[in-house]
Amino acid sequence: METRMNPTEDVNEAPAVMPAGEVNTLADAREVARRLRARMAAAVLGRDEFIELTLVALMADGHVLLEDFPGSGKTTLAKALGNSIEDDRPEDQIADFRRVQFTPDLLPSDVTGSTVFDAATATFHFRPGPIFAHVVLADEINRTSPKVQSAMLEAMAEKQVTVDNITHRLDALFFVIATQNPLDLAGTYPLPAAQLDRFLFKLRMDHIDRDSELQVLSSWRQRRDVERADLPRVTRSQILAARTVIDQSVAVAEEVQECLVDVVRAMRADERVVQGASTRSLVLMLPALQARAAFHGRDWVGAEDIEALAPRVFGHRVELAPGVGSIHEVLKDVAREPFERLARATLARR
Amino acid sequence: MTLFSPPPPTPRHGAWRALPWALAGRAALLGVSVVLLLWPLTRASGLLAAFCGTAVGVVLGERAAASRLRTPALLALCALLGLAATGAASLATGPSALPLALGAHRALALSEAVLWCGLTLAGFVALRASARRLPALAVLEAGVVAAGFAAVVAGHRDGMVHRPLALSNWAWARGIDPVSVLLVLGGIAGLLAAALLLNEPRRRRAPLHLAGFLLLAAALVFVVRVTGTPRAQAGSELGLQGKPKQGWEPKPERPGSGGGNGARRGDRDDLPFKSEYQQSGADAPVAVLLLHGEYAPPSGAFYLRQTAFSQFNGRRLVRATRDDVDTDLIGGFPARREKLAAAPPLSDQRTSLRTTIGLLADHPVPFALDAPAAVWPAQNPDPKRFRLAYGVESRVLTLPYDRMLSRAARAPGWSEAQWRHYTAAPSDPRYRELADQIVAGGLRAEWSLDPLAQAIAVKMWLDKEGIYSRRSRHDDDQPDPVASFLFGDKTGYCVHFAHAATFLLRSRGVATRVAAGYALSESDRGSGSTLLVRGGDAHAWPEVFVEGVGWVVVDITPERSLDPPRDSPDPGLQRMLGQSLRETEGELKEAEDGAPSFTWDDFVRGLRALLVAALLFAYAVKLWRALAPRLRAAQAWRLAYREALDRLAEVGLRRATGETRESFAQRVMPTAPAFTELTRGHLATALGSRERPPAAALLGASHAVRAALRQRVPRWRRWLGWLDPTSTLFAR
Repeated sequence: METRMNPTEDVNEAPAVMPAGEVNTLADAREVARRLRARMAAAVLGRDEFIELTLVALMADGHVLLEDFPGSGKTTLAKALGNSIEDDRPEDQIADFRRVQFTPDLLPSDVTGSTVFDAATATFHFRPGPIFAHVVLADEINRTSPKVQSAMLEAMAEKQVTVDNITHRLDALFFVIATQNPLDLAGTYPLPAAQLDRFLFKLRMDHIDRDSELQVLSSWRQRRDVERADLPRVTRSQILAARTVIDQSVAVAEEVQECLVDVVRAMRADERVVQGASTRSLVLMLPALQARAAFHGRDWVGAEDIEALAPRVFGHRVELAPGVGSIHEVLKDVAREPFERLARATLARR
Repeated sequence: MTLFSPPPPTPRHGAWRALPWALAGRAALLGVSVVLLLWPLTRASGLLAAFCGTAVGVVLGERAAASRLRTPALLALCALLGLAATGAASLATGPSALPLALGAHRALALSEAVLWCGLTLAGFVALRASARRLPALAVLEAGVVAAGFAAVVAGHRDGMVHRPLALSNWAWARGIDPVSVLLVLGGIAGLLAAALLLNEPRRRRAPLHLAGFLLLAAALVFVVRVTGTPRAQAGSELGLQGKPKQGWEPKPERPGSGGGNGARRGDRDDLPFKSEYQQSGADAPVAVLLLHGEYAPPSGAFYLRQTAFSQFNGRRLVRATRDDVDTDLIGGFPARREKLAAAPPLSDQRTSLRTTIGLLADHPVPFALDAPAAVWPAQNPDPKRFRLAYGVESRVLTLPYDRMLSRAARAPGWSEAQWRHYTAAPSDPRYRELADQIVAGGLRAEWSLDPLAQAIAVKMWLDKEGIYSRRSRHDDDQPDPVASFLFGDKTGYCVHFAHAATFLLRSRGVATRVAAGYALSESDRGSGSTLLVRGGDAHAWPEVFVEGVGWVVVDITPERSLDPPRDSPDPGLQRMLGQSLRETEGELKEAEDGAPSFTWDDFVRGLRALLVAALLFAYAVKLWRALAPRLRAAQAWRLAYREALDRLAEVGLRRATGETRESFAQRVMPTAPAFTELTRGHLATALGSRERPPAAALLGASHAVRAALRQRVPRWRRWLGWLDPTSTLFAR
């Protein structure tokens, strides 16, 4: 990847300054992720794990549901991501980052956009809603009515919206970070399992540690005011190219796939699990495993990737029997045998 | 492997995932088992075809299991194939042009080949495919192996120690007890069957199963070595066999007297009349008789008398309760050489013959050729085979029958009571009438009072009139089975004939008794000096007393028989058992009383040897695993990693079950940082990375692991680990 000049503060003003770097190898893809991470880490302190998982989701073309308390940095995280992406195709009128605050009286058209009458030309034309962005922050998604939720979730699954029978394609890099408050549930519409299934990860953020919190206090003003010009940004097409490279060059061995399937099947068979994970979750998980492996400098998926991502992927998809503490304890038991088999398979003669 | 070249395509799908040689081994093993099973049923062409059919069937079955065909459809197809093969086989021998064109011999061979090839093919496609889909059915395959083995050794049952011929002869010729060979074979068959099961894909508890099989085999060997092989369950219903009586008694035990020592099997004092006379294991050997001298009995058969029934109790003959009769019987097994006082003196009509008898089944009292003079214990050459061995000196009769004529029926020394004892007969007048009739019809008047002549007349009459059958209506439930037999259909077996002859003769005042024991045809002896006594040789016969000669056997051999004739004993078996009885003869060693020769010490010694062998094997494995990475660079990614695992396991760093290799490396990191790199290199190659680390790097990392262990682990811990033979088991 060629070295580039420092990006300017506003992408829209100087698009030509940013030549699109070629992303051809896994190392290039890793560099893309590294830049994004550096920018996000500078904006949000003490959230390294979530930054990594968010980037895994971004590279795996999935979406993230954050569950946390107000003021824990989710908006900052999403915004930092949006700001790190440079639009190298400004003509398509798609913004880097949009935030939608979901409320009970929100209408689907408020999200997707609507057809409006232009009195000057006496014609109707489509005005895209906030969903037409590279990174969309869907704040408090459980506060809005199911019809808005389903419009949103359909857009997430299909990457397109239909308004007045005209289908508008969303950007290929369409990444949703949705949030919901786990405690303040009065008057909310909790997402049903089928819709939760569309999120690759559901991440639960806890409060950051003391040192990070102190650091936030000492540096928040500076971070608010100063755009980190020293940290390079990446372009939209670089992210898309990185996705392709990761998909093509990270191997998922048959043993690993078997292990993954066995874990899920064992989990379904476990009596502590009322409803197991879907096949779709496995399909969605593969690119995530590849992305994580690539981030860790590997061109093959190993058991550690499954170990790290399984609780994040299955946590919101699996319904546990009453009284069962967490998905972790179930996974610990059901994964033992598939992991053992995988470990033995690698040492077997072939 | 050049950098960035795509990984080689590995054909790993479904059925073919198992190593091909495992499948080939399975096919070959089952093929051999089937050939062993079919050995007696078909000929060379059929066997060859069966082997091929089985092998191909196994491979096809494996394939069929992976196909989409439903199991019932598959089984139906196999059944059809089997039927088709049967049909085609019958076509080849049936009335068609084929036999004419090929010739009968070839047509038969072809038919056999088609039949067995088709049947085994269909059978094993079905078996393998269903076992593949329903793992529990894999036991059936193991069963085929077991059956093949059992078919080989089944011939060895019931004391047929010369069978299976090929194996036993080989072993005997080398002085090995074939039991050991068969045990080894059984162990191998068990292991192979176990291997078949272990080769199944679901082998979760495989090591446990293997250990179970080994334990079972060891237990079997131990039991056989300690208790000996199971003995022939041969026996007749004449009550000749049973627990041996302890101690020597010059005369047989009297019924009713004492009775403290009456714990004998078949403990009855008379001979049974049965509606169906059973002879289980009629061909099974019960004893071996060695003749130390030339002798041809005048009667044409060797009569080994065990007991006699001379006392008439109003209904039938029972053992004598008097002390002064039947004194020529042997009362028990002696502990040293014992003489029988009642033995007749040696003369021109009796010659001394020494015999050695090895009992393969328990008998309460010894049996011997007529007129035993001395009995002594003989050395038991093979306590695991023979229950007991004893020697007898008999003064056998050499006088031909015609020179026994014109003698009195009563010994000069007999008291009146003794005479009455031997001539007491039923009060039924029909006996006397019939006897008179027989004598009048068969003898000239001058012989009509001669005891032997009368006996022969009665014998000849019964020979002609009687019908031999082991099924008889004249059983113990009848008020008088003998009368019912003799004045009825005259159909019965030896007990009927002996009693009938005795009563007929006694009614005419001839001293007669019924003796029981074994009767062996002289022709069975062949040219050797060994006689095999089989369960079916048990017999009861009448004996008449001839003054100056003694008890003379006048056996009845009915001309007509409803039962098939018996086979003569296998000369091979006869010779072999005789050989093993003769083998250690003459040695001065004291006779053993059947104590097992395999002692606890032997067991401990064997166990120690086994342990040492296992230890050596474990160290060899360790050494090999340490050297292998250097010898096989292409496999270094696997072997170097395994070697590092071994070293770590030695110092107690072992991957837990279900722990990923990555987290294990993480755990080991403080001790051996280079292991992380090695793990990564190993996994990269195993899980399809395009950038595979070179062997040198892996070997270097493995070296670094060892160096780190040397640095951070105390020396004693490493040495202890190096000495631990089990460490490789934990390096996973």
